[in-house]
Amino acid sequence: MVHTKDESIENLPLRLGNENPQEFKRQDVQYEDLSSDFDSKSIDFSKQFCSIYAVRLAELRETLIPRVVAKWGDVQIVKLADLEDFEGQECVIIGTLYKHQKCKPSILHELSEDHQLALSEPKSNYCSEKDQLFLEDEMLRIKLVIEDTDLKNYVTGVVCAILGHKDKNGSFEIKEWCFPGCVPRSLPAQPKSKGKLVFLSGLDLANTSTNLSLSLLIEWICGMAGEAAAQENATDIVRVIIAGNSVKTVTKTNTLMGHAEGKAQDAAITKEVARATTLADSFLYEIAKCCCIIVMPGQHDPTNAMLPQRPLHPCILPLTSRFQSFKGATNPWIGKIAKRIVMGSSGQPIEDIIKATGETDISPLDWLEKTLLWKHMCPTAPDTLPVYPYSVKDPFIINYCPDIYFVGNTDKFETKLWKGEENQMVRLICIPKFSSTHIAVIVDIETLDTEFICFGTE
Amino acid sequence: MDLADEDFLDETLVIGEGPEQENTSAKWSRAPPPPLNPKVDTLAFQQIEIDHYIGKSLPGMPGSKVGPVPIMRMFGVTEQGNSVCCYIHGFCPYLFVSAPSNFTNDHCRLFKEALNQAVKKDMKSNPDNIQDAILAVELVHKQSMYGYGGNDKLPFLKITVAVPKLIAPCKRLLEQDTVYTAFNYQYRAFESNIDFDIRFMVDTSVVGCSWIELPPGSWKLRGQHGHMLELTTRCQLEVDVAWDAFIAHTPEGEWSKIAPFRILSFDIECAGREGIFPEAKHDPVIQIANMVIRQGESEPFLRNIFTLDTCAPIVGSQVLSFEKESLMLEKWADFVRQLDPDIFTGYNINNFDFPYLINRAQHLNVRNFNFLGRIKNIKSVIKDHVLQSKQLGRRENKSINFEGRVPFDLLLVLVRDYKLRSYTLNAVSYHFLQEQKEDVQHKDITGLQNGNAQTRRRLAVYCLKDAYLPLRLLDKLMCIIIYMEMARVTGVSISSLLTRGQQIKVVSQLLRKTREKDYLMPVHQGHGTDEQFEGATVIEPKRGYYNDPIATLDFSSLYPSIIMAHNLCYTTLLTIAKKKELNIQEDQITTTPSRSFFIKNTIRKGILPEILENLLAARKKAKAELKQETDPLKQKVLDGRQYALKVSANSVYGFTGAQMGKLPCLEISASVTAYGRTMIEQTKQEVEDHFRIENGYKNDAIVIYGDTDSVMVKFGVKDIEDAMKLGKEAADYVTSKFIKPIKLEFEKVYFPYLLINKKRYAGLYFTKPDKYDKMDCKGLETVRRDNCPLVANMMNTCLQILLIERNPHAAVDYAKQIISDLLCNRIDLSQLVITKELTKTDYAAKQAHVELAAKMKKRDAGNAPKLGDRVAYVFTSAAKGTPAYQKAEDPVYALQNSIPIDTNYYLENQLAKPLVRIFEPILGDKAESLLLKGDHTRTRCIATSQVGALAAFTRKKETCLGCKAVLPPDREDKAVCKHCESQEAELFHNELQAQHKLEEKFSRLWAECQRCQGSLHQEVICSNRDCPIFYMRVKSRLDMDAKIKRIKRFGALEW
Repeated sequence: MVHTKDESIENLPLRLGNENPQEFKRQDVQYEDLSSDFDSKSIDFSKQFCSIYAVRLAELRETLIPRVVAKWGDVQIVKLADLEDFEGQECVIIGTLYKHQKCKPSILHELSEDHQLALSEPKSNYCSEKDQLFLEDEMLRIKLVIEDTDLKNYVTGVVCAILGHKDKNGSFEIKEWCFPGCVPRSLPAQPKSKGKLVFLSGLDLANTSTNLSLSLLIEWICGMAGEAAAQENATDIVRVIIAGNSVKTVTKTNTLMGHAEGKAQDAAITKEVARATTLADSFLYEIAKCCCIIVMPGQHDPTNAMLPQRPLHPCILPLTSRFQSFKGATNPWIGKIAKRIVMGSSGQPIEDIIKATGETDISPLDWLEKTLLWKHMCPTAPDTLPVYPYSVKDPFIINYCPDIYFVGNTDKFETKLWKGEENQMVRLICIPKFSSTHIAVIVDIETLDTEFICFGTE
Repeated sequence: MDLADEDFLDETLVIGEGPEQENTSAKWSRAPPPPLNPKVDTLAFQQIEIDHYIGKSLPGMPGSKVGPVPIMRMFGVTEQGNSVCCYIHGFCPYLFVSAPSNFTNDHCRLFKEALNQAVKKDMKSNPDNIQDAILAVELVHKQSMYGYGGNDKLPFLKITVAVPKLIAPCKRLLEQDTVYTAFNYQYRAFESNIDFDIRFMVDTSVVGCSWIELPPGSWKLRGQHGHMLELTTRCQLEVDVAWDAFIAHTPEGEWSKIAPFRILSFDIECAGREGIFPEAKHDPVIQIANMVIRQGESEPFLRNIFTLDTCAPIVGSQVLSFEKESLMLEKWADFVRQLDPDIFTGYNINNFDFPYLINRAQHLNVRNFNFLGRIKNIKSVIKDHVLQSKQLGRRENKSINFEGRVPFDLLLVLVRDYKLRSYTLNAVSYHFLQEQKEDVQHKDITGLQNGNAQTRRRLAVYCLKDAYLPLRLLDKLMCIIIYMEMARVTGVSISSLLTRGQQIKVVSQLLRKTREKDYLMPVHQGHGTDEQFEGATVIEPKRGYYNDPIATLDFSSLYPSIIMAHNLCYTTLLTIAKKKELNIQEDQITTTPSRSFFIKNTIRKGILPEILENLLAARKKAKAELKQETDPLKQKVLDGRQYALKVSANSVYGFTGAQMGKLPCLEISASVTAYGRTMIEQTKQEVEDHFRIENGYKNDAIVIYGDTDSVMVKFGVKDIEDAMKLGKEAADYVTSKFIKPIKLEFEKVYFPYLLINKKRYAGLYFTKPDKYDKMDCKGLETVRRDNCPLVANMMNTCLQILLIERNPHAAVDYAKQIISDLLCNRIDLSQLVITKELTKTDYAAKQAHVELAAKMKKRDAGNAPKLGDRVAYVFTSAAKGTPAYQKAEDPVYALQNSIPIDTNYYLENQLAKPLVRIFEPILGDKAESLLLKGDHTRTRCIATSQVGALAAFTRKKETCLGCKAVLPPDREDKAVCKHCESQEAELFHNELQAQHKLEEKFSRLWAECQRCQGSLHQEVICSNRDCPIFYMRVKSRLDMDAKIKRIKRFGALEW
């Protein structure tokens, strides 16, 4: 189905399909953007990445200390520098994990391979048999004694406390771990507003704009599909959240090195992105006409690369940007919708964790849960994930207990309701790529019940 | 020539009262040796160092019983890792002189007495109280090895003297004075210029680094079983044996193993003053990092660091902190003595670390510091040592004596064996390990030292890494194994390989052969002649880009095989006079193309051919064993050996041609090259005559190029497999025309092949028809050192596109892109940096790096390069007519102040020539205009400098990001002009794409540095300018700031 562009904004939000129009009114719910930590005002490129690690460790240490005391009683917490006097004695150390992996992508290696013939195959993950785990505080680093099977559970950048002792070889034997844990819930009251949130990701309009599933999706959201009951149901949709990669799901890069060819290819890529963005604009326009929508950028969308990614710029979405109902968001993003805290990313943090652990059997959902316990949305940044060199605070530390915590651009839909020790209840969701699964995820604000609807055409 | 060979090595030793050996740490000391009883036990050890001293004779041992005698000392390690010092008694120095024909055995005694008198009279003083200078005179019948003189042996006198230093006066007195009046005869000395240690090794068949076995009953253990001789060394076992009672094992089979030698790698840090290279008189040593590994193991078993002032603990390393520098040095020397290492290594320890420590210790009056060797009371002292060798040129080095330990400075080894762009530890570790190392500037070192325990710890970690890297490089490059195998093959000790030139290796091998065959080596009177002989030949290349398989035929080991085939040797060289005198038939003589005569091997086989045959046979054997071997350590040893054998075989020819050498023989070396030349010509002839259409071949073969030992043949076939078949056929055919063992081998096919000029070519190298092995480039700017990296990288990629993708069009396009990038300032600055060592400041001609160093000194004396540093610079634009040397600028300064690069200079002086050279065979004469002129050169970006006279008066105006028109005042805050407004979105996409790339780069660069320095929480302070990302990192910051500003012009993000 082709949407014509000449439809004006004055059109009714709901287009009626039969002669006796039955009107359904879409609900309005409160919305507040909580992503102010992600603004770019304080970014200073003269800062190094050590600062973000430093502030991360300092802040999370404060969280860890009471937990350590609660968990292990009055075991002494020792700085690595003082560990020398504690050889063989049980104690607790606090610091940032560093996973040494030879196969991490290294710009240094790439530069040296520049003038060799065979470029080594890019690896699907960073793991090798020689990986090692270290714990580092402000001054020192110590090797952790860990089984290979256990090593897979940890990634660089996680701040934690470890109970154990230093052995003769100068390594640290681990007895037990302690992580900062999920933030306790601050709002005891449950919202009583009805309504549903729809989550989408990986629309890939560059390649799927003429796809039937996409048309069905629009019709469904806009209440043009199905009989009256279905249409009424559609009015429950209070907000559509698109978690990244609306424009594209892959990035082509200039592979030719020549003058004429290279230039031509660059220009072609820009043109393609521009074309796809226009398509995205008209698609979003269709939704924005009748429903509130939040669009987060993804790894391959036309915005910057470092996390937090800036919202898509109004000048590339001329149609949609005129609507009040449309909000551009950062990636990652935190917002409050009808008193529910919704938080998530377009997928990069979890994808990078999977690469760093090399574990494909574990569901992204489990990593999502882990990041909640680590109290950090993207621990592998800045090591293997680009982020801004923040120096005053680490904005990725999780300071809210979310009601809904999602990750976009996964391969399949998964969800679970996670219950914490301190009455936290978090709906974890993997939002699959729409372009390959044709799935939209629906979450009931009141009950946090989650279901999916598939617009498959086969 | 080895100047050190001229006379016996300086034997003056500084003797002192060395400290007693005390062992304070079980971790440091060697495990105690098992109980040994010389009567029933065998002692076997691998020796690593051999020297001698003058001492008292030991009762029960052979040799002189009175007066001072030379005693040999072998240092080594048993298989269990116990250190051994073996004293070997009874070996006496000797020389030969020619004797008159009527000299009989009866004359010997009188001759001996006369000579004894003369020598004693000649001695000005006699501190050693030598009673009998001459121990024996013996009449022997031998031949001089130089020149064929029939098979009759002639009378010679073997004169045995008491101590080595008497050989020189003996020779002088006999040759110049009349010592023995019974004959009026001009004596000529033979073998009087042989080092005593070499002499000993030759006579006892000991080769370098071989295993020595002492059978039960033949030896005595000091300090036990009633043999209470004084212990004079720091070795665990000190034993005495007679020189003819031990077994010297040939390093084969079981005895090719290597003992677990202890290798100590260390590095020191000094706190220098600003702008001055540390001087031992003023600047303290603040840290000494040590890593100890056992040969054959993969990880060091001991890591520690000695620090001045406190230092926070380092996981995995022992930290020893001292309040006083003198105590630290004292304890370090103590540590070395307890550790008892066999080999010292490190980076530039010979010329920096050791001399600095010794001088510093002397300055501070540190007790017992200098006793670092294995002999308890000999001090280690610094000597300046000049090594002149044809291969390396003149080198001034310092040498320090460490009796019984081998200083194995990795820097010296690398300079000797590898041609590299730069020899800094950074550059070397990047080159061989693809790893960068953090580099801390001198002034930062002082800053860190003056901080607290944590900052000093940081320094310590850095210092430890510098001690560890040499060990990793040694392992990776198999240096120790290659040097040990070289010592075994050539029969000299490992330390002479490091400190002496090539000559000694050949001398040692010659002596071993002459001894066997009753020849004597004459003493060559070194007089430099300028007699030149023609070198190798080159067949004029038929230049071009060949899109056909080109077969390459190589003579394997050309020069050695010529020597073997034609029996060229000192012993077979025939003069015309001798030829007449001995009435030798023409058919028994080889006349070489350079008109020299040699006896055929049917009459007499030369010793050079024999040595070479042995070497090449041994190499063949080693290669065969290498194929069989599965143990990686043994594989390394065998690989090291075959390499050592190859190098040794090739050095024989050089020895005969070294005119300042021990025994040059131009007849041999000139004949060898002359044969080489004719063989190349003949090969060309044979191939072109045989492979013709008339003879049933599809095409006429053409030899397109030939050089020294190889010819390139175009057989005219299009298929690699066919070319290989023909290549093999041609190799066999031509080989049949030559005398054995000369062998022409078919080795590879180049396809395609770009022949640029003599010694300049590139091609894709095939040894099997289906897949190429590599891209081979000779003489091109891909490796040259005096260019900026851009040239090498660009050439490499161009050649890859040309040869691998076979797409000349794309290669030209790529070159244009690079030129365009250069002119538009898009090339990374690190690609444009040229480095040169600042050797001295008083060059006659003005040089860019010298000028720059002076300029930098004015700016900031603390950061200016010092003598010996490598100066990195880029060429920046300046007013017209400014000489190039004034355009050099510090890359970091240029970057930070946006000083524009003189891109034209780079295009014209760096890129143009190499580019035109490789493209000329393809594009013809229009190459230059196509590449260097044209559309791609029209767009240029010229950055404006922020410093400079006019900068203050300029005001920056914003331009439209679309069409670059200057924006009118009312639009200055906008991104584009009125006319470009319609394209705003597309322009914005462009900017976003660029920003995306820049951000990824920024992030990866800084994350990499954080990783490389081994700490997440500490700031990166590395200033390693050899690292390719050093400049990129700085540039990336500036780029990011600029990009953010541009993006902002499209309007703030408000939703």
